[in-house]
Amino acid sequence: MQFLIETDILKEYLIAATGEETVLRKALAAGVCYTTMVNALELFRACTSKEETDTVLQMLMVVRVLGMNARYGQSFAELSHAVEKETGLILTNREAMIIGMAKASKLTIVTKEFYERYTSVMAVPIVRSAEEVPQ
Amino acid sequence: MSARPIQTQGKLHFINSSWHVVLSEAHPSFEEGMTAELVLWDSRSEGSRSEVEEIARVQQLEPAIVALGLASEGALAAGGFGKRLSTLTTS
Repeated sequence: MQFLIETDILKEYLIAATGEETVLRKALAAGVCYTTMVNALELFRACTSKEETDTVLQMLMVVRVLGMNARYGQSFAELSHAVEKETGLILTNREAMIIGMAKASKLTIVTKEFYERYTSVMAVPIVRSAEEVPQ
Repeated sequence: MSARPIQTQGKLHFINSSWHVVLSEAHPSFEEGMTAELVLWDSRSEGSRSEVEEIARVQQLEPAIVALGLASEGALAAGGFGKRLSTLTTS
């Protein structure tokens, strides 16, 4: 199983209380975890010290960061057009990049915060934890 | 990567330059020929050794790289990191 880990799940991991079971740790045990350059950007933007930046860097060693290739511009836009025509929703650029990357790389998005929104888009598989993945 | 890590008192010492690609990617200052010393895990990590190794096997990553990442779990519990991040992720 291959997952695209959203920022909220990465945040949960970084700020977890001692002993708390994190969704990322379970996903790491269940499959290969990826995130995107967009999510990494958000994490690094939230850092205000070297310690925080180093911690984010450490975490990203177990979550492979997918880059945004120039060729994705057209395909992500086409996917967005199709989704918007099908659902009547308007995607933000962030959503278009995350959903587009999940679609292009055949990944299941793991998120709690964006679960309802992504589910309504109906473009890629969405779960709130690795246990929700159909066996 | 054929190099095998040698565990010594909670740290891993890599004595083979075949780790160079991974380490220089993670740490740009790492140079071939240097001996890398990575903390296996620290007190903030809840993972047992077996769990760490299992995750490494599944991920097909070397244990030390995974362990270093796992050590970041809960590392930013204090401070305003979570709150600052929340303001950046609104779709």
